[in-house]
Amino acid sequence: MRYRWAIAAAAGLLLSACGGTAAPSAAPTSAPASAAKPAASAAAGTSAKPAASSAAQASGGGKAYSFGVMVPLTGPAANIGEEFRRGLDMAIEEINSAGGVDGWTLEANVQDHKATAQGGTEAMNQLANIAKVPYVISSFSGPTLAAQPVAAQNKMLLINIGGTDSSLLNKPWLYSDQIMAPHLMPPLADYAYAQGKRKAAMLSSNDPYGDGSRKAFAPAFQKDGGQIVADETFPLTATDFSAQLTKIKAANPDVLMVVAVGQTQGQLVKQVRALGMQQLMIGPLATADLIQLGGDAANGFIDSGIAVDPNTTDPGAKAFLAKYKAKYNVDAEWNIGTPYEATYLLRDLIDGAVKAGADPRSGDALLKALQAKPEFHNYLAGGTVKFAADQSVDRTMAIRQVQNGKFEVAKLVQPQ
Amino acid sequence: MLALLANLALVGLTLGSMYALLAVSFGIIFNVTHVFHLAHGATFTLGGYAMYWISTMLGLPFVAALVGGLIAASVFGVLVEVVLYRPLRRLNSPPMILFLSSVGALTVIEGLIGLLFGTQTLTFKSLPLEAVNVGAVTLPSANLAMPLSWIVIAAVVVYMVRTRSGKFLRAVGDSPRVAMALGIPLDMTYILSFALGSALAVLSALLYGWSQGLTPQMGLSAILIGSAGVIIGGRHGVLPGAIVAVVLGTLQAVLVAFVPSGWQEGATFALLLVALLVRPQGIFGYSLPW
Repeated sequence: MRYRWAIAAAAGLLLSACGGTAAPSAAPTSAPASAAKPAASAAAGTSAKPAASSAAQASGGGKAYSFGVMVPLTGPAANIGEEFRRGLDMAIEEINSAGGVDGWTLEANVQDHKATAQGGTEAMNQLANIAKVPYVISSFSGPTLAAQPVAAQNKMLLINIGGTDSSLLNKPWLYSDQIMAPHLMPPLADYAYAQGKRKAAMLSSNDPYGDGSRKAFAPAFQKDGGQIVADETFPLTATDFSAQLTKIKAANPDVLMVVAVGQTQGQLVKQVRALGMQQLMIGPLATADLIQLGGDAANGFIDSGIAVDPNTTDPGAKAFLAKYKAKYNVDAEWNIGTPYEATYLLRDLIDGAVKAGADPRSGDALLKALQAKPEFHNYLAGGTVKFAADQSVDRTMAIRQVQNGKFEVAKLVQPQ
Repeated sequence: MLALLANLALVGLTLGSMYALLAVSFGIIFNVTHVFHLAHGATFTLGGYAMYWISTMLGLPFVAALVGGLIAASVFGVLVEVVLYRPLRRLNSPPMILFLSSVGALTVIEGLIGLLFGTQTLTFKSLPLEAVNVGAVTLPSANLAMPLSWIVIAAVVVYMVRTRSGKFLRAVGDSPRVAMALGIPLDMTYILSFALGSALAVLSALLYGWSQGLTPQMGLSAILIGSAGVIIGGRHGVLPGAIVAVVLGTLQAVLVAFVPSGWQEGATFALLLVALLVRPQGIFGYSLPW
């Protein structure tokens, strides 16, 4: 009897050990069965969505307009989630202070997706079946990919503000305000090659973000004439990379391409330098965590991401950047701007739906408004950003380098 | 390839030494009280953060931080026994209830630490991180300190075999009823096991935090390997768990040379689960002394 207890406990440990290593599937078929049932019942029409087309319901009359937000509030990416919330809260406060939109005051229902696919499914089911919101701002490739089928079944407009995996493209009800991996990674590969690097090692997180980034980087670097000498991955929850780095070090690369989020990025660069590896390090979407945790080890790191123009003369962008700087004493980066833009996009869509005589609490009405005018203001660099046919955006990209603890722009890459 | 394997083996052996100490700390409590003390992960985390608070936030010397961490962890471990497990035992609660209460304690402490210290990774700024060349191999400083775990483990084995209180721990672990009949005080012995096991967890937390940084959730993933070592190695003594834990750590590192590194944890545990199915009484059974 006691041995069965030991075997059961060991089996439980094995399952939980493998939970961090299995690459999350893009579709919710890998989600818990209980999560599939609410989605199915919603698809059957039992979810109480407000009826569209009633002009009397179009104006809010001072009521709260609830929309969903899925960001990481716990785990290694929690700091990024906190930064997403800053941009979001700024936009909500501004819009509501100006009287709301068509009588509605915006109210965010923020859910924690923990940067995992399972977390994304749980958060999205909560928003679909309990909160019943028509608009959700999401982040990270894994959670957004898992949430998209739920959004499609429940007719909820899903705006991705962070995930870069190309499998997020051309999905019903999903639009992305982000430069996706097929556009984000090749310029990084070209830049590394132009710096004289010929042998690249890749170390990426074992999730759609890591997977998509490596698959976009490798062919581009090889096309330039470079060689991929090592390709290692790690579970999302990993904190020790010594085995992978030992293997990479043995391959003797001259550039190390790192795909990780938040604090993991900072920890990684620290462990790279602690192991005596002095190679150039590059990777997409670096955030303040890289510098905060990486310290001196982060110096020289090169990243790619949406460009911010601190010298913009566009009034809206200028005001946003100045206000953020005044409030938080740091410059706004892409991960502050995209949630801010997604909130203002919601404001525009509500207004568009009301003008069309539809109920803006309907996902259908919001989608129609978006399809009628698929663009929004660029609060990071001025001008207008348009959604492309694949439902992502073409934006100017910045290649930056960390110098003396700060990101400095090395090159701007215009959209093709 | 040989050079890579040797390097990976050395990395694994050093990491495994840290896991071995963790397995010993978990094993003392598990073998004596028969409670799957998952909240040992909370003790591990609490000890690490106590050391951080004393050394980094209060600015005291690291020796003071270590002593403070040892005291904080031991007190917490004893409190869990006295406030949580003992009342449940007195109510004749089944082992699953004690396990669930342990899960609750772990979750509460993780949340509390996250609230107090935030969720960002914290590091011991006074401890060096630079790598050191050991022959043809390069190891981070923290990994060089990890083999010292075996000195502590040896001291624990000597304590268990040679001292009166150590023999009490073994006797209660073998049979609480017989031990009670012989006049060994059960409650005090349980308290001793929690105090000792919790203190040993702090030494592991020091090595872990030094090499990987401290996060509120670090306890569960660390206890995973420690407790797996104890279950798979066998419940007689602390050495089986320590040996299995070091083998696990080494396997995890060496397997990176043969399988995609994303699968290293799963492949390692799969191999050892097979070993357990083949020998459910633990690989070592009764063949090793305490």
